Amino acid sequence: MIPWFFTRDEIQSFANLSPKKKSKKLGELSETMFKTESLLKDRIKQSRNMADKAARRLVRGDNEASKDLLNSFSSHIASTQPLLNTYVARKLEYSLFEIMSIDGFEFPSALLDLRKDINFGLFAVNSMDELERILMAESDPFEELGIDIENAISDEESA
Amino acid sequence: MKPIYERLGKMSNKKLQKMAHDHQNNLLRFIDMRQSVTREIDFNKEKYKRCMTDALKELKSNVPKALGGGMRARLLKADITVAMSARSVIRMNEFYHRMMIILIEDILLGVNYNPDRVNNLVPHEFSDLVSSSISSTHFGDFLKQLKEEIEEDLQ
Repeated sequence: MIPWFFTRDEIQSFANLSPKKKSKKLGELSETMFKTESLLKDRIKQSRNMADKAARRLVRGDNEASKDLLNSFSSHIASTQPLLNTYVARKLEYSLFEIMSIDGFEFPSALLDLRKDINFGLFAVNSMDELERILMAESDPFEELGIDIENAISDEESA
Repeated sequence: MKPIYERLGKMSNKKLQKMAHDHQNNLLRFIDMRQSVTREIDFNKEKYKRCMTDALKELKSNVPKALGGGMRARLLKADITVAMSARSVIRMNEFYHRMMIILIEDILLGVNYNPDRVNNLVPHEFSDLVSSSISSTHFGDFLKQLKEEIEEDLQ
C-alpha cells in the first residue's frame, strides 16, 4: 500500500501544479523552512550556552548557579522538541516537493507492486503523531550517549 | 510488470527509442540528485560523529557540556534522517527509469519477456536502501565501540 505521506492532499495537489507554480510553492516553503531552522538553531545555541555556563559555574564551585542554569537547560530542551518536529515535517515535505519537481518523477505506487519491503524512512509514517513518536525515539543522541537527561541533571545538582 | 511489457511491445521502434531517450534523461537527473543527497548525508554523518565523540569525552568530566553537544547532535540526526528518507524516494525513481530503459531495449532487440530478469534487478537496486533504513543507521554500534575505547583510555 502506498504510504500515507504520499496520499496527503497537499502532496497530491502539488503533483498537479504547473512547473512555474511548483517552483513558486518551493520558494515559499523554502522561506518558511529557513525561518523554522533559524529559530531552532537559535534555541539550540541558547541551550548550549546555558549548558556551557552551567559547566563553567560548576568548575568554579558555584553549585547553586549551576543548578539554576541546568534547570533552565532542561526546560529549554523540552521546548525545543515540538519545534524540531515541525522542522522535520516541513523539511520532509520540502524534500519530497523538490523530488517531485524533477522531470520524470513517479509516485511509489509504480514500484510497490514489485516489492513490498521498500523502506521509505520517515515517509512511511501513517500520521504526523507517528512521525513525532519516531522522532522522539530516533533523534535522541542523549539516549545513544547513555544519558538520561533528568538523571544527569539531578546527579549534577546533588554533586 | 507484464502489462507494461505488452504495452511497450505494441509501440513503434521510433516511439520506443524516443521513450528510452526520455527515460535516460530522467535517470540522469535522479542519479545527480541522489549523489548530491548522499554527499549531504556523508557530510552530516561526519559532523554527527565528531559531535557525539566530543560529547562522549566530555561526559566523563563535564556533564553539562556533554548535554550542550548533544543538543547540536539532535538537529544533525534529524537532518540525516530526513535526507535518508528523501534518498529512498529518489532511488525508487532512479530504479524505475533504469528498469524502463532495460525493458525498452529488450523489446527493441526482440528479447522475450522474462519476469525473473526484472525481479533480479529489484533486490540489487534496493539492497542498500533497505539496509540503510532509519532504524539501522549503525550509530549505535559506532557509539558502543567509541564508549569502550574511551573507557579503556580512562582506566
